[in-house]
Amino acid sequence: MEASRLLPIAEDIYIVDPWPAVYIESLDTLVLADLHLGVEGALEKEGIFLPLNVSLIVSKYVEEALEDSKASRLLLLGDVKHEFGFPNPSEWIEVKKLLNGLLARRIRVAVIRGNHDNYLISILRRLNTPIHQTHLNLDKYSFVHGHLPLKTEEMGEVIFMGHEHPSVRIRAETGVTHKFKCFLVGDLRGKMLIVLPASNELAGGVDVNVASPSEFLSPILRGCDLGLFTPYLLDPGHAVHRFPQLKFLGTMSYGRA
Amino acid sequence: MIRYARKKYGWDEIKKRLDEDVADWFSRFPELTPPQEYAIVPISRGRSVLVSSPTGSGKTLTVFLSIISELYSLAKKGKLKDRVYCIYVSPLRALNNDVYKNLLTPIEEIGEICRERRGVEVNLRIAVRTGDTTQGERARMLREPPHILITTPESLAIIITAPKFKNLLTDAKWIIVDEIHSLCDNKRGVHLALSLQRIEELCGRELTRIGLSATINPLEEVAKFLVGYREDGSLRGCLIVDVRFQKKMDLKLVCPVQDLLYTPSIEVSKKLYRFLSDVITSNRSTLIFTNTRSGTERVCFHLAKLGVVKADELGAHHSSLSKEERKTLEDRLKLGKMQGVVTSTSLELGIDIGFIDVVVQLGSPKSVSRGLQRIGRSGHSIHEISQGIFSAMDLDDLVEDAVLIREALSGRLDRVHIPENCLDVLAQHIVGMAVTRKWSLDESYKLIKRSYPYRCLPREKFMAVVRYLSGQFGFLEEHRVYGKIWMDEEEGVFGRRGKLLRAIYFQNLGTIPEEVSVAVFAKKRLIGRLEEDFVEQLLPGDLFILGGRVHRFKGARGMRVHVEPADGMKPTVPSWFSELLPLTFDLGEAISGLRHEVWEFLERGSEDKARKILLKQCRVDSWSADSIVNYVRLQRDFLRVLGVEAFHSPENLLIEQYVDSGGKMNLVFHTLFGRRVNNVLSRSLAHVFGKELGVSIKLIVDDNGFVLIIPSKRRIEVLRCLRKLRSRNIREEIEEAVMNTQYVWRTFRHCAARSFMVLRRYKGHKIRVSRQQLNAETLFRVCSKIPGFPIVEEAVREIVEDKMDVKNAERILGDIERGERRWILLPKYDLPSPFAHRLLLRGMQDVVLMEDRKHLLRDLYEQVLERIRGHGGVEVAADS
Repeated sequence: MEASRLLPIAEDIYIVDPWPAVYIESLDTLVLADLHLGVEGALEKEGIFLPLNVSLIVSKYVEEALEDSKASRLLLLGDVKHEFGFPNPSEWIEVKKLLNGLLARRIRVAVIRGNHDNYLISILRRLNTPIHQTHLNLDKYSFVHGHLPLKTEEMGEVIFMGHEHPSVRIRAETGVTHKFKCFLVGDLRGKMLIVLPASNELAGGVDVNVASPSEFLSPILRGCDLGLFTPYLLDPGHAVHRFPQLKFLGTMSYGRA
Repeated sequence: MIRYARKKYGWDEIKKRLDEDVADWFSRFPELTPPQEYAIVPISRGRSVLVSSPTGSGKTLTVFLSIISELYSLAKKGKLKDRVYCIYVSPLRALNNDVYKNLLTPIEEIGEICRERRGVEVNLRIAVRTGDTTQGERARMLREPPHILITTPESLAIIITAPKFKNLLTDAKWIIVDEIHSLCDNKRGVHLALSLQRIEELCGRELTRIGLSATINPLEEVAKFLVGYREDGSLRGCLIVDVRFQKKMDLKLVCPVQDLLYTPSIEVSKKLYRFLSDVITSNRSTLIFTNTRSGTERVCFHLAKLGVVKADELGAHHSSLSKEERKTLEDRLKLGKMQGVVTSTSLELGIDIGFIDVVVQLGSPKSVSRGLQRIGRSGHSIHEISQGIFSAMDLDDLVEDAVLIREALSGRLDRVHIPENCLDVLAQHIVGMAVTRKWSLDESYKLIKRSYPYRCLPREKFMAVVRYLSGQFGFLEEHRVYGKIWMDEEEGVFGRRGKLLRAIYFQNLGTIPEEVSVAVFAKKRLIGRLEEDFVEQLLPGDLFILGGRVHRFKGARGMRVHVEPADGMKPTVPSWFSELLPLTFDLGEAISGLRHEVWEFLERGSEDKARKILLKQCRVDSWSADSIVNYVRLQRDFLRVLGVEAFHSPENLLIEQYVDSGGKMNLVFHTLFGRRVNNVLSRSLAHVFGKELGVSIKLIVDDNGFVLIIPSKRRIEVLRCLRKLRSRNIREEIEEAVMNTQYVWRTFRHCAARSFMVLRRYKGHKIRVSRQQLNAETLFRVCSKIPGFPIVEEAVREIVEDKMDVKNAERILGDIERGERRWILLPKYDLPSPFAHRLLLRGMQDVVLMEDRKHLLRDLYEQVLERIRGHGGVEVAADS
């Protein structure tokens, strides 16, 4: 294991720099969220025709993160595919290809069901991959997608979630606004909550330092004081950096008034 | 062969070429105008002609007379078919309607002559087809085709693709392009150039092409743009009728105060408005040009306050006003009911506005041609003298106007830039071609190369676009993504794929970016509108200028933006989006020249001579002359304090090292090349300096030069860095630098829309590129991962070649390398020179970002920390 590639965010927990993935050492498990394979199809319906296959990029993130962490198990926190309805053929192919590749390398894969994951069960069953309807508990860790309210008492000490696709917008001294995907780490009723960024660049998200709580997608986050969360800004494939708590980013542009 | 018309034709020769009744009708005019003397006969012989003339020279009849005559002859012989014979294209719907009306009268009157004399009923039909034309009217045109069709470039692209309508065009003989000067320098014109080739392909033969243009230069290039090339690559023939300078002009420059250098600006504007009201009251009608919409509003407001003109005889005309408001004002102008009208660019084009006594130009029109086009709006008929008064409120504008007058009077006009190899427009036409039928790659490539803007299009670029459109771009078969067309590269053919394509083409064609504007509210009051692209960049708390006042951004909900006034605060958001007119390269060089001339006279102690030249050659008043001479003298004295003997000139490029009060080094480059060139020089240098120092460099760009702001405590060897930028690598540097600016995101979105990658309308509904789903930055970043992707290439090309001017920047560096121009580095000083003041105050700010994203994140982190410390943690917490 190359320690230099792992950025510690809590005891036993690391961000696999520079990928949208978290590694849990004691479980030897890699966690990613919101792959949204097939999002191009949905964009096409809106009249945006991307000339590239984003699944290739997403699969690359998964593979590189596995390579860098050498994890033996992969947990996907829901929304593996994008379309709510019956998967179109290409989506079907993408999901199968990704999982087949992983299985061939003897990686154990488990999926937490997300709100986009209808119809996924049949694919997963054929590939012998378990899917967990609401959550999965392993030791002191709990894994959820994030679209449903939490029963905190059923959860472990550390909760991992996706669904929100968090990002921040930040104005540099130079006057330019940058948008970065981010991890969020903070407190949820005495437990640690870790929110993962979407693994797919084209899956839009919420600018958590700008949005008001009512705009958050996840009912879990609507009940948190997000200002106290620590963001780790990510440019997939390039860099990760820890930033001060969100409340400080929210006031960025007042600084120059 | 492109040739200039030398032979003038008289009444007899012209009448001989015309149908007898048409000739009789035409005889009722007292005399021929110059373009008529030159152009009518060649057009009647079927020659392609470009006519460049001032407004009011009878252009409509010049081009249409022989066409109408021929149609009458056909009709009398009973040979006039239900087909379109002549297509007239203009960029403006208003102009289309004017031309329609101007044609109705002669056609009715000639028809009457025919009826009375011969008892023949000739039914010559004209119709206008634009985006406003209803479905019913379009259906009627199919049943009863107009013989003369008046349309816009966009509607033309539709009718040559429409399944039924295109069949009515196959007998067309003439195609007329009006206001070609306003088309050939942008993508709308490039789009039209391809439509012209496609229509000839449809007809299976060459059409007579007739172009009409206001003052523009060089006419040879515009003529080539009009006619294009033959299949063997040889140029098609065109006759140029150049009557640009036939209209006499009386130009002068007026300085509102005795000494512009030392008079406070409040005093200057007071005097200026008094001067303007004097002009307005002593003339029947005055047209005042400013350069911006806000300037137009401001001037109009102050003039109204003076109350010298009746409120309803004074008005503002600019593009933010509604169509109805503008129309009302134009009509009142035509009827002679307006004494004063203030406008920005919206009255430059040739719509009929009746008689104007005098045109006043406030500030600099930034280009000799534009100046002449504006002045040419006065003295409506070609025999009247155009009265033009220039005036300015700051010294740089004053000098620019003086030079502009001298250049105009000696017939030196700035060169127009015609965009080339635009891949997004190309993609659009390839789709259009695929809609109509199956094509071989060869014949399609040849057709495209016959148009002027694509004459040098490399085959690989063409193929890259076809591959992109057919979904075969650089990916394996199994990853083939949605293709709009199908293409079989082995067979060398392509065609339509799917039934949706035609609808996509019809609903999305065109080149003008659709700017979605968002309403801005302070409390519940609507205070203005902002472009969606701009709003996308705002964060709560940002300060920006709208309508001349500073506002704080509170948030956006859907299509509403909420702000609060923040008067007296300094804006935090630079306004990249202000599209001020750039100074042309040629005018910039001429200004350098004049400033140096004045300096030389001062050096020789012959100040009087300098003043005399200004008075005589530049037609300035004595206050202007004094102000200009004093301005140059002040700069000279400043340079002497620094121990510098040289002075600014086209050859001497001075660089100031001004250390500001914050200790930052401001490198002020005096490069009077206009913003299009300065954008290239500044950004590529910022890129070089940034790489050298590992920081983002802030820069200020203006027409007169640019400033690089180096963060404090960085030592820098200026001359060594300058040598790293060479004529052969500047293009690479600027392309790389552009990839790291915000500007490219927005341009890319426009290019993506033009090439049908992001549709504006799809399956019957209008699409807003939703901010949440896919912002411009993400879209660009994802697509720029594909090597050689033509739409990314096009966005970069559009910026460096059209918005900026990389070619002249290369030339300048080449000159420096050959020793024909030189950088002169001034010693460090804690004050900027007088010539640098406006640049530092008013230039547009931008940034060339660091490329290293890792570095950028770390830098941002440090900035946040610094800001938190500066605020004190408690206060920040209270704010949030």
